[in-house]
Amino acid sequence: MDKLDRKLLDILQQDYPLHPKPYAIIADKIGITEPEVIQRISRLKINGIIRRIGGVIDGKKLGFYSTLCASTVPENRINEVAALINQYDEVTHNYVRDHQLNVWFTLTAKSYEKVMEILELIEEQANIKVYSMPALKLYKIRVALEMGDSL
Amino acid sequence: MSWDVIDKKILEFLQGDIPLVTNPFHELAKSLDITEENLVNRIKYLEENGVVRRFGAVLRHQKAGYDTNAMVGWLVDEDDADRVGALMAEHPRISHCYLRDVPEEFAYNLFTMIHAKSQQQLDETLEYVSKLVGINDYKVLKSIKELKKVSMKYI
Repeated sequence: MDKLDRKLLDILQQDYPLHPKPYAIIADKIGITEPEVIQRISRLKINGIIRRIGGVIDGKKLGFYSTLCASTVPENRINEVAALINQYDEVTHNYVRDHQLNVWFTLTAKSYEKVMEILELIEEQANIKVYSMPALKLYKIRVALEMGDSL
Repeated sequence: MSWDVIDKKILEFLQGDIPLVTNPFHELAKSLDITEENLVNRIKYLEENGVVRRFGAVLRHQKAGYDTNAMVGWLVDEDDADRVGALMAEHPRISHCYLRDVPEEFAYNLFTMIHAKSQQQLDETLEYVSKLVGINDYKVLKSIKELKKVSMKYI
């Protein structure tokens, strides 16, 4: 990844031109050709740096309810319990974390009721206690990972 | 086609990975029977009213050099949360900051995601932020293992 790639990543994250020919506009901006822009993006995707290019949707605006859940799962049951939890499409993130509450996952569904229903199913099926920690206030949600400047 | 139907198709398109071609909006515009200009303007509109939080590239932290990431819970007096949250929000290495309704078993109610390029940078960030907001009681919840990570499909 060179300096131009980092600049490109900053533009693609923060300043993507919503225009019929976005890459021609970016090309003009950074002084390379349109095919070169596309080629660089293609490389950044193959390398796995770019997950995708698209929109980040605010589920709340569409009426979705979401919460962060945590549970204490015995070490030797983590894989089994994770498989149970992960089977739900409504679970998008799930991590083992370094704490007594060691399994942390997010639940997002069309309604509060649906989230609670899944939460109870997980508790029942996995025989664990799940704590739900819904957001009361949102102060920040990631805009972009700055690549150009050194943070 | 009504705007409701069009918006639904646009959101379905946007929640995925748009094609990497010179004119990524062409195919969708054609299938919706609108011009590409109309389509990008509609996406701008969806961005303005907040349904689309942002449009652009979504990166993988680890691959982008930010490989030391931690969820950190801070013990904050709820009355003080707005002040602390505003300060946290300004920090470039903090990507998410939420005040959460927490149970007795876990009192740390202000959650942040911190992205750093090394353990040292993470420690420095924690020390800096802790001083900045005046809170010493916090819990670093380092991720030991990723069990699942997918994008939510809303449509």
